[in-house]
Amino acid sequence: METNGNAGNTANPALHETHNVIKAENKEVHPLAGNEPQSSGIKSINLNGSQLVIKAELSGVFCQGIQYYDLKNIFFINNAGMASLIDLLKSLLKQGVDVQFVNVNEKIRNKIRSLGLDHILVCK
Amino acid sequence: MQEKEFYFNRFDHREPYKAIPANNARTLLFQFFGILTIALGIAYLNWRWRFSLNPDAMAFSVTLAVAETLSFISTVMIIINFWSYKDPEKQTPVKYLSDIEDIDRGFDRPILIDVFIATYNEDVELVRYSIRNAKELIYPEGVDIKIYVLDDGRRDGRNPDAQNMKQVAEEEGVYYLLREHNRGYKAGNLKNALEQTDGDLFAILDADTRVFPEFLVNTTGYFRKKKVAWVQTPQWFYDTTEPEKLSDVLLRVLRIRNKVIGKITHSLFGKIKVNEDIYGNDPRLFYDAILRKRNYHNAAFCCGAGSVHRREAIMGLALKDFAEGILKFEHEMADKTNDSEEIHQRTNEQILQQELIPFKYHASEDIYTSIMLHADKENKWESIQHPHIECKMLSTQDLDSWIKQHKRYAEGSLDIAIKDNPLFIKGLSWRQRICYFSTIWSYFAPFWVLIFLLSPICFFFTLSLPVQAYSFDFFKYFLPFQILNTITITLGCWGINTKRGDQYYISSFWFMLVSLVNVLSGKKVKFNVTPKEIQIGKNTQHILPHIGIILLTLVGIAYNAYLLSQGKHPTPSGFAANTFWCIFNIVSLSIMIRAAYWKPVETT
Repeated sequence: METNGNAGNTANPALHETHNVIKAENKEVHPLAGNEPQSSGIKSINLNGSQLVIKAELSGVFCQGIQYYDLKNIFFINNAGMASLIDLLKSLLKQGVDVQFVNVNEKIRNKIRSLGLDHILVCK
Repeated sequence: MQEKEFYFNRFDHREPYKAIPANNARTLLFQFFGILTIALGIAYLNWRWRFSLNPDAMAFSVTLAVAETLSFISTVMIIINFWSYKDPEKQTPVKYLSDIEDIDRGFDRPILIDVFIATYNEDVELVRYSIRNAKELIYPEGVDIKIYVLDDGRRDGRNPDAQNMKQVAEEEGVYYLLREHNRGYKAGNLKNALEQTDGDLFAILDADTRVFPEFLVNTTGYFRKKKVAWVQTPQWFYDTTEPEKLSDVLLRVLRIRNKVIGKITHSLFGKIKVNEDIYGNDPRLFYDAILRKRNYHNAAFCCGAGSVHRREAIMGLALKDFAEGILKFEHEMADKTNDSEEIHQRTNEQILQQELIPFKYHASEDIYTSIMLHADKENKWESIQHPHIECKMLSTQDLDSWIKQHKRYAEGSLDIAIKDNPLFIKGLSWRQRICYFSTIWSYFAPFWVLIFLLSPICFFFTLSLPVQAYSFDFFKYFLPFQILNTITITLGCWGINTKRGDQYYISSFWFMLVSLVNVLSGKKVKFNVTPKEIQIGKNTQHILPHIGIILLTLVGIAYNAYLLSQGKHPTPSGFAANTFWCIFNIVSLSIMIRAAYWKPVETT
């Protein structure tokens, strides 16, 4: 999901119409709330496994070297979605920006914990 | 577009075999004979170790007893593996995400299925066949099936002299993905695909895997059970060599063109068929007996091509591995420094460096990943070996390619034994441990097979017996065990011809020994892509040890026959027993020699 050359290798442009639980695109980057670093490469996150279900833009706030993401409208993230969160984290760490997630519900916290990611995906 | 003609087109009419129906009475009979075999085996080995060792040739005697004991361990594990059937119940194909996952708040959508066709250097026109078959997959309406060609050969037209895989993908209207490196080989190729796709289920096909239209309809239903992580279907090689008349082979090899002699040869040997599946590629023993019966132990492992996977399971494994890697690094840092800022900084660097790897980067990525998924204590993932054939594939067409492929299996499995031995991995049940270890143990077979091959030779030239005498006691213990063992294995493999498997078990000793030495000496295990074309002229190197053993055996027999004729042989019974043993050895070893010089009839 990081900015890579692979997107250009698809024979069919429809490939970008992804249905992942969490979606991270590297096109049409638009400024998120607050002072988010411009080149994070992350546009939106789709939840609950389908764009037919919930499509929530992940709002982020950049403050003192930390990018905060509000997950208050997010009820569930599956493993593919967790992988996208790791990609999100990596894309910002690359620029020296730490990431924290706020308003994370108990279910998601438990999932993060059960995967052993609680020391990587920091939830406040 | 017109399809290119390949050698395998002449096998297109072949129909796959039918899975052997499970039978409770036969299973009970197998279990009865299996227990008896183990009991008689223990009795035999007890006698061997306590009463039969020859003090005049103790080293020879003990060596053979060790080999027999190691071989018996293998027999016990096979009996446990074959213990019972547990074929999965057929299910209707899944249509919605809620069919395979617990969806929160009742939200739902049609399921998404990806079909990955992994390729590296195969003829793009060969891949076109696989793509076209994949396009004919049928599925309930409303379900989105996407086909992706995963090209690890970067054949996107940048090299005008090379074939253009991207163009074929475009012509066929399927997606095309490539990457700029080959890190992780096939596992890396799949990782790259998983990063760019979003199917809830995905099927893995090789470049030569040609699916039947109902491949997905017959396999995805199993995912209704939320614990099922993957479904493997049998890999049916539909291009195994045709049987030939022995008379044809004799006339060809001896270059006889005389019509009268030809007629006589045909009348004498015309009904005898030889060279059927000369490379022992028929995978029925493996898929219809070994792997299928592992359903009973929840230990059927993934073999790559022809499998369907739950993305959630494989991504969960990747995330856990990632988390464990980072945590380990953090702990190591904490041991080195108390500076929390430095630990934080270095850990972030590690997060950036470390990759999320769904399938283990390994020469045997499929079995390795299977072990790790089965060992996931929290999710308790289950696997399914689907009994029926849903796709067809190409087999190796020459001995050199066959050995390269099997060396990779051997070295990969042995490497797992060293790095992550399933006997000690937490989370596996004891039955899973035995099944996985049984697979790995089979690659240690050259230890005892070599001893079995050399023992008669040792006898012929030293005239020392590995037992005190080939007495009534020997046959009293040995024969019942061997006879029961044969009956048990026959019942376990009911309906499957195991002749080639038995021959290759013996004749594979050399390359497996080389694999064992390579792994034990720490040599890096390579991922060799199996060639799909015939490699001519590389075979002789593989059979020199076989020729050497056969020659030594024949010289030994001649020498002992001479001694016997002169009335100077100390143990005629030993000569008889060892000669009988040698016939079995020579027949087994000769299959690889025949395979080395075999060519398709059309090219001779």
